[in-house]
Amino acid sequence: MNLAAASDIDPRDQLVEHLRPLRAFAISLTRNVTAADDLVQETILKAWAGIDKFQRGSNLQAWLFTILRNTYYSSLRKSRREVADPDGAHAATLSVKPDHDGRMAFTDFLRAFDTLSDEHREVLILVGASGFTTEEAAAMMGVAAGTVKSRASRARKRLAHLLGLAEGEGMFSGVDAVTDAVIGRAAAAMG
Amino acid sequence: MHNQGSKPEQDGQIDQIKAQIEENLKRVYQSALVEEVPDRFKLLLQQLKDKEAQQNGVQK
Repeated sequence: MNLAAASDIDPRDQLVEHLRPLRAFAISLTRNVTAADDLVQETILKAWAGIDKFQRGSNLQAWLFTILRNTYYSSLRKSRREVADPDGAHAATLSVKPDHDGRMAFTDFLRAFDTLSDEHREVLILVGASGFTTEEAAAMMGVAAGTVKSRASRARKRLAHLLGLAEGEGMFSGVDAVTDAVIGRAAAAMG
Repeated sequence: MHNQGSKPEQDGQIDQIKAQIEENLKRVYQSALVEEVPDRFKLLLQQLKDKEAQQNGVQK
């Protein structure tokens, strides 16, 4: 592959190489494969039509992720019919603790993750999981880097809280939360 | 807030749980990343390309 020719390549021909991460981001964000695929389709169409807005030589994947998340949020705004649960009230019953081997079960983790707000899922996936830098994530999300950091921090705390690891209240101060939860579950099972 | 009365083993446990959260976040993305992309997206790109080629052919 001739590197010198890289900038001559039509970025539209490179879209296919980004389908996989794009779809992974969509699935992580929506937590729904059908919704994710609709989103990927819409993103492809928008990217194709708006390819002139892509700055050649810049990060194509980041550009595609930006289109996808913007599309997602604008579709959410259009269909805000779901009952909002900003405080995660129904999640309050979630109490997840490490497995018998001391690790938290992935399915339990997913339940907590699914309960996060879209913004919190987004920031944790962009910064923590898909390997973008804070600055890249900030550009994609259209906010300052500091906002990304504080949002990610709040998202982690929220997640820990949902997982029954009351971090915000001084994680494990006093009674060990994990032990407490395990005892609670054992008691429930016995009762 | 300061973690009052925290014992070293508890700190270790917190670090462990934090690490597990990070690990699980990566797993959310990675498990989606290993999934095979449905053919319809590649077909869609091909269709868009063909359509464009056709239009360019007409213009020329």
